[in-house]
Amino acid sequence: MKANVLIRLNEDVLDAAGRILKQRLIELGFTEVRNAKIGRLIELDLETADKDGARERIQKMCDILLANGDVENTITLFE
Amino acid sequence: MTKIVIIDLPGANSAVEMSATLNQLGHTVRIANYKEETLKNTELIILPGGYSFGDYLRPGALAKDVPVMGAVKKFARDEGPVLGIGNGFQILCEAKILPGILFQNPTLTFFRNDIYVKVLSNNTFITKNIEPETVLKLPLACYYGSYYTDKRTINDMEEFQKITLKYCDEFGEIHYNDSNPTESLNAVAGIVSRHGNVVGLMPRIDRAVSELFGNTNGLKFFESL
Repeated sequence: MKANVLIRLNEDVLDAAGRILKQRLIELGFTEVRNAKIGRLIELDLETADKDGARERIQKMCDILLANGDVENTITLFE
Repeated sequence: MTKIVIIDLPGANSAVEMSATLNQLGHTVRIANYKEETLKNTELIILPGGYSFGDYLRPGALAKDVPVMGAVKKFARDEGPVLGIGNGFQILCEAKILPGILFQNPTLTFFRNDIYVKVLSNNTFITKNIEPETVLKLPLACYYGSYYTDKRTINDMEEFQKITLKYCDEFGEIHYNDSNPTESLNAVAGIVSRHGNVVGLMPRIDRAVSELFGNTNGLKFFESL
C-alpha cells in the first residue's frame, strides 16, 4: 500500500520559504497570489493492506520522526 | 580539569578542533562515536556544530534518536551539564532537551559572518566567568538559525532568565530586526534549560579561540568550564 504524508507548518508559524515564494510569484506577474506555503511530501510504500493500522503506524512515525508536532501538522492520503 | 565527551556524528564538523582547544585548556577530552550506548566517567557532554546526517528532514531530526542520544538524555535528566553549539543546539531542541526549534533563516541564505551578542546571565556553566551585559563579537555560520518557540515558553524564558545570549549591535543595543541576522524570536542566540544544566548556543564559540582565527572571544566561554 502506498501512502503520501503531507507535512505543513501550522498556521501561526512563519513560513519563510512560502513568504519568499509568494513575493517572487507576484514579481513574475502572478499578482493574484494571496499566500503561498511550502510543505513536505513523504511517499511511503508499506507492506500491509490494513489501512486503519497503517494510519496509526504513520501517525507514530510522524510523532517520532517525520514531523515536529510543536510547529507542524500532517495529513496522510492513501493511493 | 573536566572530563569532557564530544559526540561525533556523521556530518559534524568540529569535534577534533574543539577537542584540541579543550586539551589546551587542560581538560581531558574523549570523542565518542554516535553508536555508543553509554557514556561513563563524563562530567560534560558537548554536541558540536555541523550538519549531522546531512540536515535531511530537519536539522537534528535524524540525530536525535541515535544510540548515544539515550545516554545524553539520561545525563541531562540527571542534571549533568550538556552544551550544544550550532547543529548541537538544533539536536537538543529536536530531542526536546531544550525548548523550541531552529528554522531556516528567513532570508533563505546561509549566514556566515561575525555578529555581536550580549551575554545576559552568568548563571550557566559556560558563561559563569563572563560578566552579565558583556557584548562579544563572535562568528555565526548557519542556514537553520532562526529560533522559534510558542509565546508562553518565550515569556517564561524571559521571566526566569533562560535566555543566555541575545543578538545585539556593537554597542549592545538589542534590536529585533537590524542586528538579529536570523530573525530569531526575541533575538535569541543562546538558551539554557529550565534546570540550568543544558545550554544551546548558535554562535560558533569554537571558531573564536585563537589569534590565528582573528578572534579569541570564544575562549571566555570555554574558560568558564
